[in-house]
Amino acid sequence: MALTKVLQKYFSNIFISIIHQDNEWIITSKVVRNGVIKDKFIENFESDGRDNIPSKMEKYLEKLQTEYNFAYIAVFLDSMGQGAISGISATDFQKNSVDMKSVTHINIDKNWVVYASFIDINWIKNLFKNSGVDFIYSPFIVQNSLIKKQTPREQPTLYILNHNDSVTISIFENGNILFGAYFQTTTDDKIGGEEDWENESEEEGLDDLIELDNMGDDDIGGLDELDDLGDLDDLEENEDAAGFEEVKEKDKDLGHFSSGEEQVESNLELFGRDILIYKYLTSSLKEFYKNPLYKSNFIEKIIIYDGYEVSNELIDMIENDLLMDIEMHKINISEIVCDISIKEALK
Amino acid sequence: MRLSFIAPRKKHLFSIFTKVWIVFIISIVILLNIFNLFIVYKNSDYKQTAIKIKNQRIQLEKDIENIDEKIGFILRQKAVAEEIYANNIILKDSIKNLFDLVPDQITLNKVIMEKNSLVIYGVTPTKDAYNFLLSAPLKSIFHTSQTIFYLTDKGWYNFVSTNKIINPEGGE
Amino acid sequence: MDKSMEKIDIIKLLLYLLIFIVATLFMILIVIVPNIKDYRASKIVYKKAYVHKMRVENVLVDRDNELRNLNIENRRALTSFMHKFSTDNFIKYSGQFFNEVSLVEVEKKEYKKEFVEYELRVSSSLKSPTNFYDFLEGLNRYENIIQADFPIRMESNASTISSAFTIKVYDINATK
Repeated sequence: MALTKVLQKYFSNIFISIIHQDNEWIITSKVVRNGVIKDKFIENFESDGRDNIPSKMEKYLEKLQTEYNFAYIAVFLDSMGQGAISGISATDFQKNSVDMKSVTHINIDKNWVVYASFIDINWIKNLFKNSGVDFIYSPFIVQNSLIKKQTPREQPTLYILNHNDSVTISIFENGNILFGAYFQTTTDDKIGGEEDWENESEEEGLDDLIELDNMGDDDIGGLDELDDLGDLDDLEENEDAAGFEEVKEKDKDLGHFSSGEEQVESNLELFGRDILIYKYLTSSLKEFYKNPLYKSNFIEKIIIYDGYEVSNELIDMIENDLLMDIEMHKINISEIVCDISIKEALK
Repeated sequence: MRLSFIAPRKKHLFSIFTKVWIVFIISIVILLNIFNLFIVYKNSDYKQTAIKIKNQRIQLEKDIENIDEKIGFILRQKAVAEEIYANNIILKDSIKNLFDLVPDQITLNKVIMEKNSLVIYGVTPTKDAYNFLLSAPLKSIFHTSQTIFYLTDKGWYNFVSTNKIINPEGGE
Repeated sequence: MDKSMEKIDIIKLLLYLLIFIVATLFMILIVIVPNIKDYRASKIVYKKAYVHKMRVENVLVDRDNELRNLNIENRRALTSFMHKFSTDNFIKYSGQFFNEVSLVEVEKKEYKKEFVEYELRVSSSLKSPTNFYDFLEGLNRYENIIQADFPIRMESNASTISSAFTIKVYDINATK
């Protein structure tokens, strides 16, 4: 009823954002009443994979929903079948090789589209069938809300949203998207690896990506460290081991770089992931410049919204090798999702 | 669905539990009200009808008065008529008695009957005959009785008998 | 997920129950009970009025019958009172008993304001007093209410008796 909508803001509304990171679920809740945030709390739940929700978490969600009459659950979508394209018409979908019939999409600013496959959406709905879900947000939406907070840049700018399990890259010019790419960095079985590349190639039309590994220094320019890629596999396997978890246990707050002996080790692990980011970044750039589909303008600046950890080395690498300016922002994705849902529910 | 891929679930101000109770309480109150209205309606109905009946009864009482008047009137007429009828018969009987009273010898010439008096003009052969046969009965009927005799050529007597009854109210 | 029906909040339950009880009691005690009292009272009043009216109605029926019967019983007298006195008719009637009947009007006077009384002086001649008796008897059956009254004068003439008497005719007041 419309009456409910009007009266709702005078009551306590709780906004629960659920995001999956590595092996745990992070739940950030904010209580809003009369336009004022009355309370905020965060809970973590150990996750045994993306297939199901721990029963403790379900009970927690149930408890919150019984406590508060107006409860909104927002979920961060980190499945593979999603992306963003410029334009809003059916031909635009076709140009980007996206099957319009199998995705649901949202028009942003009547300019560009964020899409996600029905399968993934239904998967999330099914996952939360006991507690219910109100909002499902794409990382592009999260990224867009961050971009909107800054003044629009006339020059084309590349934005990276870094999350434990995914990397979202998009190129904007004057508030309009030119290019969008989404990479998942962690799956249940393997972390990173060629698998992602192959999936991405289907969607983004990056046919020549596999060539990348074999390429030298020519096109991309100064990838000395790439020769050490062989070590990567070892390093990545180590991710399953104590490495990352050690870091996490020491500093819950993401973005803190540990010091001391572990620094070398953790830096290495981190580095391994950063290499991945670097890979994604360079391939996206290559795609952007090469593919006639995208209106290519020279990109000067990269803005990174970091919800996880980015090492200094990577920043140096990008600055020195790619000759691009970098702006770094540390963010809390879970809280941002929460804020977006607040804005959307209470308009 | 502005930014989210799905629309949020409907939010209700009241839980189902609350709604059930609200509906339940309101239904009961409404039912009681209906019952109450029914009682009030019947109540006013009785009151109105009672007034109507009272007015009808008053009208009937007026009708009874009316009829009583008519009855009274009829009874009065009946009384008057019967009195008159009786009087006529009494009159007839009185006259008859009077004439029967008169013996054959005596002949009456003129009779003047008033309410309280009787004057007889007649002829009698002898005084005695008159006194014996007529005067005596007359005296028994009337309070006062006077006779005057006139001798005629033939030897008979003309007489004038004046008889009166004295009324308690007085006079003739 | 609205699980309010599965996990029942006892405080809310008690509160709603309380509201329900208060509402019901209020309705019953403050609204319904006085109305029922009023209803019973007015029902009794109605019944009384009804019974009263029925009794009166019965009385009316009885009186009405009484009136009817009286009307029937006294028809002759009543019609006689109503009948307008006609001199010709009377002379015609008297002619049955007398010869040479003549009427002289004496006066009209009010009799108890219900009847108008005509007084007439009748002069007639008759053969014998028997005629007079018959006349008087028949008078009771005549179309008017007439009382023969004093003074009565009878005088025997050659072959007849000439008589003079008063009659009082009773007529219902024209306005009645």
